[in-house]
Amino acid sequence: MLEVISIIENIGNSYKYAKEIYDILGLILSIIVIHKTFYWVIGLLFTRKFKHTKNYHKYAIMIAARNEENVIGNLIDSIKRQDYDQNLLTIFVVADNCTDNTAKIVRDKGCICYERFDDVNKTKGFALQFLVKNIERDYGIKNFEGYFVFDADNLLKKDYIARMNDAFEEGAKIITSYRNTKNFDENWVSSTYALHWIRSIRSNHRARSVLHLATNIQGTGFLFANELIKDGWNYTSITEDRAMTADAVSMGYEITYNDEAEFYDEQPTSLKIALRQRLRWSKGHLLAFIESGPKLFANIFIGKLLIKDKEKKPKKNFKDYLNAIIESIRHRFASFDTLVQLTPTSVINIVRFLICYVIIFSCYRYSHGINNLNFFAGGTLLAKFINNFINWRITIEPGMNALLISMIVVLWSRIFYRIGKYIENIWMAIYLFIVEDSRIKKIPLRKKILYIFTWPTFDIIGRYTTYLALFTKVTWKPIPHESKVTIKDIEGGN
Amino acid sequence: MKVKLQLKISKEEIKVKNNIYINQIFTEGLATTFYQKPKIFLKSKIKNTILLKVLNFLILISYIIILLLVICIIFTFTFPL
Repeated sequence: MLEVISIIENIGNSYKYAKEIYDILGLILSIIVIHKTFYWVIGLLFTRKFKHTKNYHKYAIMIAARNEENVIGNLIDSIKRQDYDQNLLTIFVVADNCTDNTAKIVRDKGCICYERFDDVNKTKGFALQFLVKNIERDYGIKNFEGYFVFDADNLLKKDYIARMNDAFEEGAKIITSYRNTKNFDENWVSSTYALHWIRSIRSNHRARSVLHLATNIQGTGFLFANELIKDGWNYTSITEDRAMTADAVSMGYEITYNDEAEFYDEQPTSLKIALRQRLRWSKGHLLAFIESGPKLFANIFIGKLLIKDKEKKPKKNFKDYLNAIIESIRHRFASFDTLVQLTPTSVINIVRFLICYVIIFSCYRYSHGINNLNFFAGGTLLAKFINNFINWRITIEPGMNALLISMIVVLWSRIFYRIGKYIENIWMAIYLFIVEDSRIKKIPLRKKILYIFTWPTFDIIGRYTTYLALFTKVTWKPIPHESKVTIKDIEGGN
Repeated sequence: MKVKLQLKISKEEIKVKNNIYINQIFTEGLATTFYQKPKIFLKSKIKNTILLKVLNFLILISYIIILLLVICIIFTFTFPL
């Protein structure tokens, strides 16, 4: 018993140092995300625009589909309906482990379908790898200037490819687009996803496109130049989009965003499926951080030193040198920005909280007791509001009681802090509903109010699936798509 | 001569790009609800041109205040320090 008490006291004695480390870590984690605030402001006001062009490029459209007979036909119809020269578009579908009529529907619609059966390598990345290999064999990668990637549940606005072509014509090598939602108002689960995609646009894509940085590819609705897959498709992890983003940034590519190119996507409506998908995202996020983090970190300091493939232009005058310096800064900052996005800050935060507060602070209270500890502490607006009316303070003499009650109060303060943050996050949904009013489908006010209150659950789910992903083995499972909505239903017309 | 001509074009291009960015502040996002719609509404209701100009100016001021307010809200909730 004396040994246990001695250990507790020793741990408690290190509290002051632990608190200093805790604060320094907190400061570092805050400083590295300061630029995100400015992204929000830029995203409120600006986005990059591209000049409309009539110079049409030749593209391949790649679709990975697993048992998508309900929706694949609608996507192909929306591609065939594009105001773009159809001779310049070739649709390739990989029917991946399909047991339904997906392949038949695709072929009936006049598209090229490759069937793949593989029980071991099940991710979308492997399906795309298989598709790229087949395109290389039958047509050649260089036969197409650019490659689009879509999910089978997507629908494209009539001018989608023409607008993406505008960005491609201006020299962009990787381009993402505006992701709208087919089933925004189906239920609260789909609405949280829909708001999340819009948040990504407002908080990341728009600002990064204006600043010529690299935004993140989000699974579907993007175009890239053929040079990116000249050695095949190498992204086979459970979140191939994050891996591709990190790799492209490491290679010095800019990833831009075109706000005028809009497509629709179906979001999960079942909480069970949403949890499964979020767990996969979280795992993929962690894996991408482990795989690409060191490379991105090195890029911040060494710039483009190790990039061999990029053309090195001879520097003739001061302007060339200046451009080279600007490009180097751009590349380093894009690497830093992508690394910050991949960094699992929630994991770092919970670990430092558990060590510093739940363990060391509680041990410290064993020796020093609890003196006037605020029950409703925390920097949230909720805490400030409650402290105006309720002033609950806890005082306990040193000893085991102080240790146990300190642990409970510390855990409560974390829950209370998160409740405060939940309420604060509601502003974001209100903001998004206002700024994106013209693009979000018309929804009754009562539903909007409901979705405003359910929106913060998206980040809460993300937080806990990240914790869970640390200890769970995640396998890729398909997300069922059943929406019968067509692009004509959304846009009207024939 | 050729170089000078190229510089002139690039300056003009920069000017056009800047204008595109300035236009966005008054045509997209918050502007559709708090600037464009009220302007269209007033134009349909008021025939007196002087009064319309004054009210349009007031809408512009109100819109800028709303914009600054939203930027303050963004800073309040997203600034990490």
